[in-house]
Amino acid sequence: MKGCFLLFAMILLGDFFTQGNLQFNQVKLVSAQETVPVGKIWKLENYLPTVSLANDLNRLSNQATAGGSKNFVILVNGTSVYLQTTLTREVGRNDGYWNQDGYATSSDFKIFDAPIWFPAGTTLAASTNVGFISVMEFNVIP
Amino acid sequence: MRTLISLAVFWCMISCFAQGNLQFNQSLLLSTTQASNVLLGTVPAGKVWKVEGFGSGNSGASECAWSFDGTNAAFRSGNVYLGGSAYQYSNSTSTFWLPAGTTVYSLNCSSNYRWISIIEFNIVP
Repeated sequence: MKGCFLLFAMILLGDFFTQGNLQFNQVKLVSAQETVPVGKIWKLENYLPTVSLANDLNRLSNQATAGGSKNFVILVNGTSVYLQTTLTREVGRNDGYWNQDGYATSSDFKIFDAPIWFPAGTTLAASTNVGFISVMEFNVIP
Repeated sequence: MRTLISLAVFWCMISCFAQGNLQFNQSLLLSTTQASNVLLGTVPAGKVWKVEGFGSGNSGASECAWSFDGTNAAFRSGNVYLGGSAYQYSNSTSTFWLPAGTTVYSLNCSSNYRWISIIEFNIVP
C-alpha cells in the first residue's frame, strides 16, 4: 500500500516537472532571414546596430530643427518591427551675436525591452540599422 | 526495500528534469592597446560567450569598434559629442550572446585601451 502511494506521488510529481520545460539548445546571431524550427522557440536577447554611435546631427547654424533620426528595425514574419527610434535636434545659434555651435538634444524612443519570445514558424531577420540579432534557441520538451 | 527503490526512481526523475544545459566555465577580460586590428579571441567548440560589457578609453568625439569578421563593425563604444566641450560616453548595445566559432576582433583604434567582459558557459548535453 505504501509502495502504491509512493508510486502515485511520483507520477504526480513527474507530471508537475514536465510542464513547459525549455531546454537550452544554442545561441545564434541572426542577420539574413531565418525561421524558428519546429519544436523550438527563440528568445531575442538583444540586437547589434550597424551605425555609428554619433547621431546624424547636421550642425546647421540657427536651425533648431536640424538633426536626424535613426530607426532600428527587425523583420518579424516579413513585417517591420521598430525596436528603437533615436531623434536628434540642434538647439542654439551661431551668428554675429553668438559664436557657438549650439547643443544637441536627443530623444530616444526605445520599445525594446528584452526578451522577446518567438514561437516555431516565425521568421526573423535584421533590417534597417541592425546588423545582428542575438537569439537563444530552446527545445520545447513536452 | 520497495520504498528505497521508489525513492531512487523518484530522484532519477528529478535529476532528469533538472538539466541546466548552460554551466558556468570562466569569466574573461579580453583587452588590447594595439593600434591595428587584433583578434581578441574565438568562442571555443562546446561553449557560448555572454558579452556582459565592453568599453574603450577614447577621448573627445570618437569611437572604437569590434567586429566578428575582422572588417565590418558589429558593435562600438566611445564618446558622443553633445556640443560645446561636452561629451558623453556611450555603447551601441548591451548584453548579448555569441555562439561557438565566433571570432571577436578589436578594429584599429589608435592605441586606445579596449576591453570586453565575457562569461563563458559550457553547453552540457
